[in-house]
Amino acid sequence: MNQSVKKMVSSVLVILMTMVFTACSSAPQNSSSKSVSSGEKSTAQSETKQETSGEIPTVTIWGSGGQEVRESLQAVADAFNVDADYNTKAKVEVQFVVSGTSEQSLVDRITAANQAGETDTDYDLIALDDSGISPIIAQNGEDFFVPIDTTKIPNYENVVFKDNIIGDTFVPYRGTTVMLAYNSEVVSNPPKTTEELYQWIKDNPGRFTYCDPSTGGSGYTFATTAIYNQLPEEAATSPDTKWKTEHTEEWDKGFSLLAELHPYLYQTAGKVQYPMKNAGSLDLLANKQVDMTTAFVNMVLTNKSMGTLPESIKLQQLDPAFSGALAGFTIPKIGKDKEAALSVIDYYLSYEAQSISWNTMYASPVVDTNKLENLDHSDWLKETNISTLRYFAIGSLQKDIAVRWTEEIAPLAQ
Amino acid sequence: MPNLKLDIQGLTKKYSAKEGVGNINLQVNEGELLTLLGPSGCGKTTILRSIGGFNKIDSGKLILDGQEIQTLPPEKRPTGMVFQSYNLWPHMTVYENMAFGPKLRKTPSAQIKQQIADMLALVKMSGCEKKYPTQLSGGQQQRIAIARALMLKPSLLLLDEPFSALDAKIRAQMRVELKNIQEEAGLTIIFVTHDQEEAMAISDRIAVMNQGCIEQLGSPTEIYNNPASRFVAEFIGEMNFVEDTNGTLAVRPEDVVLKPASGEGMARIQNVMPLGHYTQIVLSCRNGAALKAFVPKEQALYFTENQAVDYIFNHFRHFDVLAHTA
Amino acid sequence: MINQKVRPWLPWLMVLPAFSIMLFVVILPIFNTVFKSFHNTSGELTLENYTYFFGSAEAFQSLIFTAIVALAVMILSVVLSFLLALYLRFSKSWISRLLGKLYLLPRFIPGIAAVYAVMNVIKDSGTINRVSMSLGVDFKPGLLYDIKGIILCNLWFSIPFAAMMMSAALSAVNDSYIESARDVGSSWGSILTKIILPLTYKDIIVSATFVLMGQIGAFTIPYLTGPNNPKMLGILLYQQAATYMDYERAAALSVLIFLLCLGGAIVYIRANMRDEVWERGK
Repeated sequence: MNQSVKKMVSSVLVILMTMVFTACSSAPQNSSSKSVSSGEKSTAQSETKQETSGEIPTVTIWGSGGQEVRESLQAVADAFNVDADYNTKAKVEVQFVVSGTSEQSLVDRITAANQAGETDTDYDLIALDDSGISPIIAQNGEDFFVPIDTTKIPNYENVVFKDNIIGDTFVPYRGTTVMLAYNSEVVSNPPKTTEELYQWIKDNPGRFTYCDPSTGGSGYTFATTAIYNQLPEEAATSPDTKWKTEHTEEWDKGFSLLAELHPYLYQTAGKVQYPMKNAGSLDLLANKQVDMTTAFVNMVLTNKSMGTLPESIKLQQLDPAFSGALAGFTIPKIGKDKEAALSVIDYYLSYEAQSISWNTMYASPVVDTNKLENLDHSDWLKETNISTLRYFAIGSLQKDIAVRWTEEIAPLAQ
Repeated sequence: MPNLKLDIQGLTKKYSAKEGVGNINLQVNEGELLTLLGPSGCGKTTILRSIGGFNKIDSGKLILDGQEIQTLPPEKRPTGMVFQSYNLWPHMTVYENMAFGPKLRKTPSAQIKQQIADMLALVKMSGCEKKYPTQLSGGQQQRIAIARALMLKPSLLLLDEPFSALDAKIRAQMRVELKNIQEEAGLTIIFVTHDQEEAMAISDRIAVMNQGCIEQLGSPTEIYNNPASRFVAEFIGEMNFVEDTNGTLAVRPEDVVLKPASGEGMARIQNVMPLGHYTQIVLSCRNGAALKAFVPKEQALYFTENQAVDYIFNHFRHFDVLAHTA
Repeated sequence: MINQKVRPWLPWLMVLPAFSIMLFVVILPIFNTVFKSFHNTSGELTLENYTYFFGSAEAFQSLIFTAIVALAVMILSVVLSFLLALYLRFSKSWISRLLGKLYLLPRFIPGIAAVYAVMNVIKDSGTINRVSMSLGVDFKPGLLYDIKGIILCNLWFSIPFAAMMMSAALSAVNDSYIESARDVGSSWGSILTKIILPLTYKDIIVSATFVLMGQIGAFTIPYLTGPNNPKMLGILLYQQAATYMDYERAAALSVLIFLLCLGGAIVYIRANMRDEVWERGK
């Protein structure tokens, strides 16, 4: 009797244990949404109390991405909270999901809150770029983000990329640009056009790389540019799937270009290897394993200022440019105080905030850079000026590019 | 003149300056059971393990049957060893345990089977071939361990406190049986124990050890009656030490003879404790010292607590002041 | 007597916190996953999430690759840690004592930090390369972004773990078992095969299954150190969620990975449950 009980108990334990193994290691979409700590919940409750007693509302910004983005968002939030003109309107808090820890998390959390039917959450503002926003829309519907009335945002006047903005639910606060990063000690005359770049890659086998597009925007940009250079210019700012379904020839051409370049890329262990994440390709550049790669401007500048990338690493914009993007704010319909959220967006568009953003993460400003003051390395700003931003907003087609790359290009690497 | 079995010459094995044994010389005769007796840490197990080959010795010679064996590994020495406990391999039956050594030597299995039956009969464990060690009691396990050690017909059997993990009653039984087995099989045995009673009961000769040296070597009676040092006197049996102007008198309690005193007497009875066939009486002497006496139970009837008594010593041994340090 | 009859609920109460955590973070999500895996995006019952993987060459390749990595890590870590544990158990030298203190260290180093540390040594421009450069040879180990890299990094974690389990098992092998065997003339080889292995094989199987199961769902290490192709199952799963954003298919793959692990769990149970005659009455 005792024996059989023992057996039973241990069998159950083992099965559960296996479940933990599987669950922990391989099911991000199961576990992450449960990981909101109780601390955050209690903040939400106390806020509600504050609000009812007529105090200053708290606006929580939810972001996801690299650590530097968090620091930049936080630095501006701190400045907001001590600015006498603004801190009477709201108090800003930043909740951030650093990528690499549980990347699906922010999307899952928002989706979970939305599906649970909550309407009064602390998801006041979401700070993401276009590639982060489309998965949220995919799971929560087109109407998940409310239209933003820009007339209630005085500093919106400062924004120089108004023409690039699609729809009325998104207000950018920084640009994300990818350029060619190269080692100027080896490459004295970097390519100036995409055609020159492709030729350079073939002339210098093993010395160029771009990261797996599903893991990092710098690699994604390389792939996207290869395809969209075949398409009419208007395709870049249209999420319409006709640009794929009706233009298969151009897509095929783009992918065959990528396949053609494949054997000339960085190799290790006797075969081509696409590094993981933006940091992976920068690491190869820093270690002189390659001489050239695509990279986010702000990552290169941040690493240069910290000394993790040598001074000899320079940036070069191509013609036509690599696809760029804007990171900005959206307001979910499940947020509490949408008026207070507008005042926060307003502050992030001020010249002061834009300067802070540059100084903390070398974020490309979305305002006229001549009006910015107290900048670190202002010479770098000129070098990387994105007044010629080639803005891309292609919605769910992003996924299609990553998927097709994964299915067609990645298998070549074996 | 008995035949010399094992000759230990100048055996030294030091673990540190204090631990270990130094310059041990000892002869073991054919067919004898010699006990190494001493408190823990005295070096008795070190000597035994050196003979068995489990300790690499620093210097000295070990000559067994006329052959130097000190450089041989345990598996090449014609010795058999039984440890304090955990001798038997728990995953093997008694049969497999006993057949392990002979099989390694490619003994034919029919012969092994016969030998096992004989050995089990010798240790009175016939018929338990198929049992696993966990199905046996501690005493039974040690019998099998002895039987297993005997399977290879060792020239010398080494027993390292084999009974110390058993309870008192079984331990007494096992002593008797070991003695029988030894006589029946004509074995030469070196036996290690810290239990002086056990040593007295089974040994032909005892080597009393202290701090890495042999203090005295002799038959149990010699050692009991004529302890060579105060240490031996104290370690073996009960002993009174009576201070005297020239030194110390060592007197066995049974050598203290009491008679009722008419007046004050030499001492007063503090305590009377019947211990079966004799009675222990503790006296408080005039000088305040305590003295223990064993009297036959018939005589004990004459004594009660607080009674004044006189005593004489039937037999005693005198240790000089200088010998106190022993 | 009195103590025995009161508080019959106490054991249940003690189990409750652990059980409720298990229920909410393990059991329910698993039911959720299983449920999801049999539905499509519009919520209809379907098997296509599963048939996709059974028909996919990539998934098959991934399964084979995962099996090779997992078995290689299992065999290497069992053999190496058994040798390590043997050395720690039977050598009394200062090196052994030092190793005995150090070998668990990797388990206390955060996973990511350790993986990056190993990567910095084995990558083509890493420590090995720099040392070889200083000797005048430009040797590129070619270990990183390769199956060898995954295996090496996994060994870093699995060897201390397996060695810990085997050290515990070997500590149950008394010195006198070994010495008795030597006394009757056994060589070290037969002591190993006839005495030590039979006494410890269960723990070896248990640690082997643990290592194996850990590999099947592994993500971080293969993600950081493995090749683009083939992918381990953990990466394939991540890709289903992150690139394809197909959560139903990801759920189906989770279930399949779980079933694979269940195979390991059955071996584990059988090893643990097998009652040897000689162990009864212990």
